[in-house]
Amino acid sequence: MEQVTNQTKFYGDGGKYLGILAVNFILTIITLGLYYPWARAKNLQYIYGETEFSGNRLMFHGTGKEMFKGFIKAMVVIVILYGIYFSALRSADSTFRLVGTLVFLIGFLLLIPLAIHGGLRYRMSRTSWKGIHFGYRGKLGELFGIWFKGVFFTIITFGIYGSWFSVNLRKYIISNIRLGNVKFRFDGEGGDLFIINLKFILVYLSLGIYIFWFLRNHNHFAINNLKVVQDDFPVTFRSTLTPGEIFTTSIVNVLIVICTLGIGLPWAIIRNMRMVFNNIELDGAFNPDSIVQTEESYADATGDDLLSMLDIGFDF
Amino acid sequence: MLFAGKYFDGKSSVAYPAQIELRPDDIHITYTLADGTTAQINWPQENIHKNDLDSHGKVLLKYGEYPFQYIEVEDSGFATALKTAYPEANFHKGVYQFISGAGARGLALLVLAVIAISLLFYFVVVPEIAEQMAIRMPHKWEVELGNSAFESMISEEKIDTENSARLQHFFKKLHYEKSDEVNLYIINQSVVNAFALPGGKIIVYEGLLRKMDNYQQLAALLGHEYSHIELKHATRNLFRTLSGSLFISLLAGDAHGVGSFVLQNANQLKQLGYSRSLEKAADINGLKLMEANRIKPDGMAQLFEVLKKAEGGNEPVSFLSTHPLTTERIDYVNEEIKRGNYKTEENVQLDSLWKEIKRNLED
Repeated sequence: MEQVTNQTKFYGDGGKYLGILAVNFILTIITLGLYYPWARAKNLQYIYGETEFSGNRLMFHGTGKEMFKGFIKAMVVIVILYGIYFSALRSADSTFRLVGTLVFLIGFLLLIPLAIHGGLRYRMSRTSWKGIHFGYRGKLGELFGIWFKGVFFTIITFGIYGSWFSVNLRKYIISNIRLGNVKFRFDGEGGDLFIINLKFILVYLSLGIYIFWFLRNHNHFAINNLKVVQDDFPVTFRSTLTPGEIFTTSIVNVLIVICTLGIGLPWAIIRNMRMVFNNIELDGAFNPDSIVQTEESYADATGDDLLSMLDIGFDF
Repeated sequence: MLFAGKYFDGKSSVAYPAQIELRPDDIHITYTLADGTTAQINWPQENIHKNDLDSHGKVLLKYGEYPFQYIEVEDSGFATALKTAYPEANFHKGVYQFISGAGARGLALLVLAVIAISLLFYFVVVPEIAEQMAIRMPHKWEVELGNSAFESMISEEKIDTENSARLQHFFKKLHYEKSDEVNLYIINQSVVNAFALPGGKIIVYEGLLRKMDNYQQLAALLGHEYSHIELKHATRNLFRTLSGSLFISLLAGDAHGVGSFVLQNANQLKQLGYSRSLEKAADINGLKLMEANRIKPDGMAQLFEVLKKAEGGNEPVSFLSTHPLTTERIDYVNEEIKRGNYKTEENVQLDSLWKEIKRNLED
């Protein structure tokens, strides 16, 4: 195989994105929220469709209809949980109050890995590159194991284990992502992330200036440890993002948003995406033409909708 | 018309060089395989997926069922050619299509529409929905709401039960429509105040009763507080506040910080305005109730004089207050009294009940 450098690139346009968000907003508000799943689908279709790797766009195939069905199911789950919680709060019986509150808390704790699992299956199945669909093959039971071990140790170590938890989760998820017959791998270590997070103290000591190095480190940790495995041969992504670039992009973005009283937000979002994606390349031998479709379709968007409702910022 | 592009078959990632012909009923694709031979496929236009036909000069057309086939054409004329070849087709129609051609003016109009609709919803639609929901809220819920507020506010206070019963009796003699649903409490405290809770509880502090001189004033006070209950003011106020701030947090959800802070505070100012309008409504309705009982309406104005004295001239600024300024209240009540044609007569029974309450106030 020949040595090729494959670049990612983001083509989004602030004006077009503003138009999409405006139409989404208007339709969502006049339908009293019912249009929201379609708005979300359109948003993702646009963002994915403007993202290119090695000359070919990503495609998002999720539809408003799928997301609407998921939205309703997710809504039912959340309403039931809150229903239990509120009737427990209003109950005169103190055992029921305690049990109801516990069911509510544990329900949410269970819901998060469930939502991540379902969300990944859906989001991956509905994303393709060069006509080849992604897929997520993780097992729910294994994810639960990692999740509860992580939550437990993070609590008893007062948050210190959080870095390892986050890396374990990422390793598991990424190692279960497929693009046809291509696999992925995450080689980062919890210890490294811990050091990066520990250095957040420097942000205070430097009166904020270190934040740009902190963000760069996070970006590099996420990207430079990401591997594509083709025919058992790993190829590494590399980020060329610099603290200076983060600094200029952020300052200009803040100015754009403030000077336009918020109307310029879509431009700021697009500029951010461009900054991240235009700095990613795949370093090494990767053959984009030998990938074969392997993944099955998965159309249940409940997990994806739950993630969006629980407002868990998951970076796909 | 013939265009050059790439064809992806949805089975492998190979980009086949392709010739794309737009025929009347279908798109005809001729693509070249690795071994140099060609293959052909036809796409009936009705199975082509929705498309904006605009991603920086590149058009990606998707076809059929999972796993999808698609073609990619990097020719600026392709989008127009598609629209001309299939003017009736659905795949290039939809609410988002106009954005690409909208230009700066179109976008500005769109932003204006967003602002106009937000304002319309914030000032008209959302308050109206909140109002309708509050009015339709089951009475049982209101009572529950009032009870829990009562418990948390009053549980530490000392209630004068005997005198409360007298007040209850006085109230009953006013013959209001929902008299039976209302409970009255006198609290042993020098505070010059009184308030109503949703569902039907009126709390009067002893301090206020001490400052009052006649039964007309008490009737005015109870008429005002009863109006709050009858007109569901507390619930309406609550629904208004919640819906307004929920709407704002949905709007400004992503823009945390300064913008959201400014909006939420502006929302509170608007809310205070609503609260003042409810107070005025209770004052006016209270007057009507007095009229029905043939009680001298001056009692309402006198009641406000009592409040004014208690405030000691330290009135807050009107727009930062939940109640209208007391001086304002005196003015509009007097005006209302002048306008109405009040027939009044002395009510001996109420007078004696009032005197008994007054006599029994604890020292």
